[in-house]
Amino acid sequence: MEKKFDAGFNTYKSLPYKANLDECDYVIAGVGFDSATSGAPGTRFAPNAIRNAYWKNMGYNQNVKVWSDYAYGTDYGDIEIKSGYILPTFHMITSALKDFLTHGVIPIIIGGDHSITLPELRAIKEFYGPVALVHFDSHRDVRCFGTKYDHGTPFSRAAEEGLLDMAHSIQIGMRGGFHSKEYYDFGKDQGMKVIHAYEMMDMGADKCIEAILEQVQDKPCFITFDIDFLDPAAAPGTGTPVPGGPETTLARKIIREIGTRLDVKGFDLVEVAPDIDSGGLTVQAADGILVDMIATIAKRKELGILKRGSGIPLCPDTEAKTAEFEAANLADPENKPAFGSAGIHTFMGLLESKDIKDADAVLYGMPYDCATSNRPGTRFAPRAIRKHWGFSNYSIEFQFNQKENFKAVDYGDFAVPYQNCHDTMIKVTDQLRDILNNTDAVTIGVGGDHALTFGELRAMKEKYGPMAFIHFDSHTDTWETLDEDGNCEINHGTPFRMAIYNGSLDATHGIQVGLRSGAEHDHDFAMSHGMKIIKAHELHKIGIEETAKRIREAVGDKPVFVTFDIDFVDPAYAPGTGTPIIGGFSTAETLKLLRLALPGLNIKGFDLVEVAPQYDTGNITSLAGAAIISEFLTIASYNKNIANK
Amino acid sequence: MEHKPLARPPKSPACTGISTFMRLPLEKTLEDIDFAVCGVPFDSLVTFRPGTRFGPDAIRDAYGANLYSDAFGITLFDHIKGVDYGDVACQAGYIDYDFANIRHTVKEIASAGVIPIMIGGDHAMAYPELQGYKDAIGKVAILHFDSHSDTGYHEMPKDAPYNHGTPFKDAIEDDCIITEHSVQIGMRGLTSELAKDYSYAREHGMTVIPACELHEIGIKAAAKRIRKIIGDAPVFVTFDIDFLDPVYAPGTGTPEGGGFSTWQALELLRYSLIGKNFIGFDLVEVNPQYDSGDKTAQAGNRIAWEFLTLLACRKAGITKYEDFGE
Repeated sequence: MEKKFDAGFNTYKSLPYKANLDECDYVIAGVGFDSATSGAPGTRFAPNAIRNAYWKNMGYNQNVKVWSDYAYGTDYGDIEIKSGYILPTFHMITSALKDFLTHGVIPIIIGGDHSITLPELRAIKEFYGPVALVHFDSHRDVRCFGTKYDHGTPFSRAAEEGLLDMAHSIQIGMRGGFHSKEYYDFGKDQGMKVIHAYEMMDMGADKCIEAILEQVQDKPCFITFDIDFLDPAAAPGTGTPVPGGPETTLARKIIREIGTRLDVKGFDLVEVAPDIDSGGLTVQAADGILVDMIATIAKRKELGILKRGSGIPLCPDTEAKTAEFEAANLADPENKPAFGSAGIHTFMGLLESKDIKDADAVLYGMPYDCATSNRPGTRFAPRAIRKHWGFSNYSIEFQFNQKENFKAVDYGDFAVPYQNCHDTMIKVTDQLRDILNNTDAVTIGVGGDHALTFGELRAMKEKYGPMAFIHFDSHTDTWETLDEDGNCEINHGTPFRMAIYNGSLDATHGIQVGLRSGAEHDHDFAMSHGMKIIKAHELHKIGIEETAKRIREAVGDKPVFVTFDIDFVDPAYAPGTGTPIIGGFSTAETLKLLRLALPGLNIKGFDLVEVAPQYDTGNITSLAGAAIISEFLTIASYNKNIANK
Repeated sequence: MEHKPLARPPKSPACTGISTFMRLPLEKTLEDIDFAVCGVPFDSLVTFRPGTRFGPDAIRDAYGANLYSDAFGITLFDHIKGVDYGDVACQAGYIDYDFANIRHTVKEIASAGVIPIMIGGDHAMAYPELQGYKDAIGKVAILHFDSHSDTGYHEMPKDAPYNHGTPFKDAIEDDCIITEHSVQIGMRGLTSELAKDYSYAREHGMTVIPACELHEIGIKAAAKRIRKIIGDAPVFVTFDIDFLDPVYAPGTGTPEGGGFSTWQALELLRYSLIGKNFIGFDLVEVNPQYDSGDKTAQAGNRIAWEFLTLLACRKAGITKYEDFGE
């Protein structure tokens, strides 16, 4: 088939515009619909942004080893929608897909938010019967309460409407928004398989591929790829990003391997929001996945295993059934927003309260950044982190309802006088002492810069004695900065030298992890007081499991303070900080390390410091900070409800 | 609780504490207050760039420390009391639900004799707001700052009847507006067969002062005209941030060049409304996702604040801004 390069506008990879579908193997179409999204909207701009990405031709795909042009494709432009109106739009999408399927082609749809997959699946079912779902995402999208049709419900609705072959369906990468055990368990009794993100990262690409092939077998399937499957560092331009995911390499490998083997009846790629992207990363990632997907169609064609659709509906009553479900769903009095919001942001949406007597965890902000040696701005971190959620009801890694029998409150922000660092330390100690006098709850401080931890440790020591210490950071923070009298001054590079001097820290039960900068004598100082150190260099070599083991050994059963400087995380994952150092760790590795190292320890307090939102891109650093705080809460709840029982 | 901005902890940064509008107490009360600020995180009916759902957040967060009005020489909270009323519950894509909630909230606040200060949100919300006012106090006039007339640009499909370009047509059809005392000002964007020469608005009795005319006659002359037209009618002031030039307010979904400065906007508000019978206010279309250096959110915050100074003036008995030869 001859290509037309003179469409006058960009089609995807310069594919011919609206070619004869009977001569095509696949058809590309955009659906710029983003009115059913709960997070940041803007996916309406994805189809054209992805059409404009990078190379305008596909050529030879080195990974799949095939000329992509071997499969014939066409770009049908965008499917007409009605912005703001979910159900009218759904009907337009289903109808457009049915037009495609009467010609037996494989539809490749560029979303749009994830709600659009439901109307796509209705058309697919009409022609092929219930299909196996292969679903890449950070969310399961199987919510069963609240509004019936939005980007959090497509697969609970699809299952209910009988569009899916559940016993051969699989979801992969799941890690966000597990609001109940029912959500966690959804569909599993019908044979649906779920590979959660933490399992996926341990399994690696090859085992994931095996698992998918084994689950789907030779059944007709639909692949849906939500770009937030990827870590926010790889795909920041999306409405509801969740840290702890993979980079593009893993995703593209899986797509290539399963695409060449499965009987793929349709594909969509959703939730790219180009205007909140950073450096075109997300659009680029989406384009790469599409290119590989198309190459697998070419490969199957080359191998002679590409099955063309008959164009004759297998289940012609699908539309009538859809109407029945819609009527029932819209009459449902529970068809209300799933999550209320007062419009005011607290940490993890927790209750804001100074009444902490019966609390299990007390969170407080410290908007202070005047002891910073390089880029300031961490004063904005508490507000930025309060904008994110993350502490969901159900913990998928520990498998328990983490909010049950666990009360956490947002205590608001500490007063932090910014003119005088010594005053600030005194004030932080005073205010944390007030909290500790009123409750035995675990405390979680949100900085602010790292000098604040010195103020916190002094209050901790008054209650618990010298604290055992777990310190995640890229810096030692045991610098020696002397004033004119020869005394060490407090700044964000000296808190732990100061804390060792004044006896707040029990360095013999202390461990510093992830260090990758600073002078030799800083390490020597800490180690001469008994501190253990696992530098980044060593952590990369010995791995997360061994590091976690050493952390647990170092602190034993002593009362522990855990301090987490966000620059422990690599700047690719957490650029928004004052003194970033490369060669660090991903958010997935970070969360895994916390999960392995901290449960069951006698933790009295945590803090998370050095997030500087003004240097952030796409809010990924404040999001990573929120994920870490959420992990602290999970561990605090685990320690109360499981470890100590 | 005292319904005034809470004091910031001594010497602590302005961003300390949970973010509310002007550090007002977050409280669902309508007793013994003069105004209630309420967010509307709504952007389902934006025709171009969405994201105004984050407008209320951004405006609450914007740096705005003014307590004293230089223009009128008064300290606002010597004369008025108010609360941050939180947000109206909105669910993306569920227009009927959102509209019902917006209408109900405005009705609830206005019925209590309290001035609603609604922070949007896209401009489609003005229709249910006007319904809410009608429910509470009857039809009202509008003073509408915008670069678009928002009285419809083409026939809307039956199953998708609204967007953020239709609220005033919808409200006129629903008989919510005293059109002969209403003014639209600043128009310069998007025209079509239906909206040509602002014929819909004009045929229904509203006065339209397009941007070209406002630039020509100037702020004071425009204010004189506005004051004459609105007379003693109860006026709902609706301010689309894209009235401002994109230089001053880039963070919005449908910006139009050739607009006005923040200073011109404040002056126009003051000259037009001092001593008038305004009954409510909204500030819409701030979209922080396209903002630069928070300046749009800052502008939105300050314009809403200016409206509060006008309210404080009413309570303090100040009825003149400057003698400008009215």
